[in-house]
Amino acid sequence: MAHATDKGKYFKDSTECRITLKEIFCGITNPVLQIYEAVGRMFPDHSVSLAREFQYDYSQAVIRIHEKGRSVPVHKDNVKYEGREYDVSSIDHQLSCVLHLQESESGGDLVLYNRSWKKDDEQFRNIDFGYSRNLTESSQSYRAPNLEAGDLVIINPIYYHEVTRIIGDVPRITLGMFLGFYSQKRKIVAWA
Amino acid sequence: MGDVIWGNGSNTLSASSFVLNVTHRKNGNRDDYSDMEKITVTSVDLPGMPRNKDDWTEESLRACVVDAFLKCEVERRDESGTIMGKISHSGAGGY
Repeated sequence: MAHATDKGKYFKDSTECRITLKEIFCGITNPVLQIYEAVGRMFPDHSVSLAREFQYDYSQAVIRIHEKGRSVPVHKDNVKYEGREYDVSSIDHQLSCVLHLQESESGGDLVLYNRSWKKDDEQFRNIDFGYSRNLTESSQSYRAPNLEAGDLVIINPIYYHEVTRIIGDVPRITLGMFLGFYSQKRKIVAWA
Repeated sequence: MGDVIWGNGSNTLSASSFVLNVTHRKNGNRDDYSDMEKITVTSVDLPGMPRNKDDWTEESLRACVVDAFLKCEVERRDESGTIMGKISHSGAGGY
């Protein structure tokens, strides 16, 4: 069963994840809080906080370790479509926020396409994850150049994006979260 | 493992049945499946769709399956040829 529909498991795993992140960043400033502060400076008239639903905290962040040969196919992220079970699906706008912790020797580039998701695109879905490359082959693309550890990449994830194949033995490691904007309330919530 | 087919939902026929435009078939399926199959839903794992069958309506099924990319785990065909199966959102676009 997917997290997309099993909220009980999601919030249980979120609690465990919070403990793990605390252990990982023990003794240093938690980068999640640093990201909240950076986002707060970008949007000074908005509050920034971790998303909550009833008494449950959403997950703060996800750490992804992409090893040699791994790639992430063309996809979009849209909680309003795929997270309808969750309160955060009522946001007005969504951004994706990725902190690069370690770069691979080569590859692992973020490619962003100038095409946003439409429901009709679901006919181009891959079985397991993402979309057929045919969907974006005629779209303009932008490859994020020379990213280094410590760089924070913020994109509108409803635009298709992918991560190219990792080359070399050094894994690509990132810490990711989403930001949801409630325009009228001038409120930003974060979750992963 | 039973047969599995994937595709995009099209029109609904009732609170628990709809038409699936089949685009992918699992390698090793025992039966053949046409490009358009009538499905009767036995259980669901779909964002926005209640788990309890008593709460299903044609309206809620339509909102969840039309155009969505779906996985159908086939249980059997009934005498009219309609597939009975579990329907889930196939993987995720980005979650």
